[in-house]
Amino acid sequence: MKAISLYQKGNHKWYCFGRDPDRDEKIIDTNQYMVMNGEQSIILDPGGIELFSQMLTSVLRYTTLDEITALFASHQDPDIISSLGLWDQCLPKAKLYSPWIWESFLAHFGMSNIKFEGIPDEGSSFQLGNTSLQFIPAHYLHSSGNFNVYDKEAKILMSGDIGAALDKDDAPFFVEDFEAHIPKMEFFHRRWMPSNKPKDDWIASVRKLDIEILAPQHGGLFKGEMVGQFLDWFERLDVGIAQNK
Amino acid sequence: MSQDNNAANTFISVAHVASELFKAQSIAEELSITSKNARALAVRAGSTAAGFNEITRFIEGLSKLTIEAATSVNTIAISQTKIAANLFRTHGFIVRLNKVNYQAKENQPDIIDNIFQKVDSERKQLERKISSSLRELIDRLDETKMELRATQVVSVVSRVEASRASEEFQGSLNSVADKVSSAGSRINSHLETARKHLAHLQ
Ligand SMILES: [Fe+2]
Ligand SMILES: [Fe+2]
Repeated sequence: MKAISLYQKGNHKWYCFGRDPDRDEKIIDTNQYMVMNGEQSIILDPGGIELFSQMLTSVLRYTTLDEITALFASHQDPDIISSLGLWDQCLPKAKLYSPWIWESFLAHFGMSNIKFEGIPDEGSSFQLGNTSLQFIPAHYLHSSGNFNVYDKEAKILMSGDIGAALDKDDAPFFVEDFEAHIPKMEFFHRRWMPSNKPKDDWIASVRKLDIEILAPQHGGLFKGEMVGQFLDWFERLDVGIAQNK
Repeated sequence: MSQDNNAANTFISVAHVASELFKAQSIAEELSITSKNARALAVRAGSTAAGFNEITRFIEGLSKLTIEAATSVNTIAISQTKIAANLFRTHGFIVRLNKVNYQAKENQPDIIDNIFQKVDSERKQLERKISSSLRELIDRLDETKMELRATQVVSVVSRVEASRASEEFQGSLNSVADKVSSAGSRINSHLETARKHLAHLQ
């Protein structure tokens, strides 16, 4: 599994893991993130059970198990958090932050040691070492209980499935040509996102944030002015249409 | 449940090993740059540092060796963590299967027992795989440690060669020797940590 550093200032760091060359092709490619501050780390959308081994190996290059104090699952999907039962064996003292509505569903993945911390619908903030991260509501995009993670210091918005693209395994970590990227994300957004109203609300709320990197859970990350390009494109897109292509 | 814990311990330990080797690999990559710089330096220092040129070849060899070892350990470790994670799931499955309340009807095959036999033989196979690849991992680590003993010698020889070079180059050549010995001992300590992570699994 490949890894890149997205941000580093002192002991505050962001890493993105993905593009695993050994991944079974039946499994959708995902980006996993880890934020570190001082002696604490949180893994954002830790991923599916099938790539757990590579993820554990990858995060241990930068942190220790004791320092991974929390996991975050933007929503309940298997590609996001079906590895929970295995993390549960390695991180008995960690907490899982996830939308409150999913607690009893996520328990199906195995959660005997990890403690569940439900995020209220309006969002909340989370203290990581000396910094704080914001859980930003992104409900119905696509899951009915769904959050993004915003780091105002690093100016990174981890947007979960929003901005997701289905791309080739050797695609670069960052989107290079926005126009060429559109076909890779259009179907996904139209088919998975159920309705325009929450989409417009979300766009209005994130436009208020200072974002340098918009980091989705699948496909390329958006940097600099491409963040605005993405928001403009998403605003124009009609979602909630079950038409195959 | 203790079998569960064994499998969990295995995947945690092996993931630790892979990450230690990754760190060793980054140091080896630095070492390779050091050796290239040293070669350029030896050329500039001319005939008085001729012996040094030879040493840079050694350093290059050592860093290559470490990088190769790290790559192969990484491959073993990743497949090992996969097997261990599978084993963990298999144990979990067997525990749950044992709780299934089922009685085969007369003259009917016992479906649950069939599944049990199949999964249990898979479990045994996974366990065998784990112990043989564990062996492989340990051998590879020990082998690399042996081979790296040469770094200390190289660093001593470098110092001797540096003292022969003309004065203006001595400082830089000595710093190459320092870098080699520090890289060697840092790589070594990562290998040692890696080895410790495996000790309790043997
Ligand atoms: Fe999803
Ligand atoms: Fe997803």
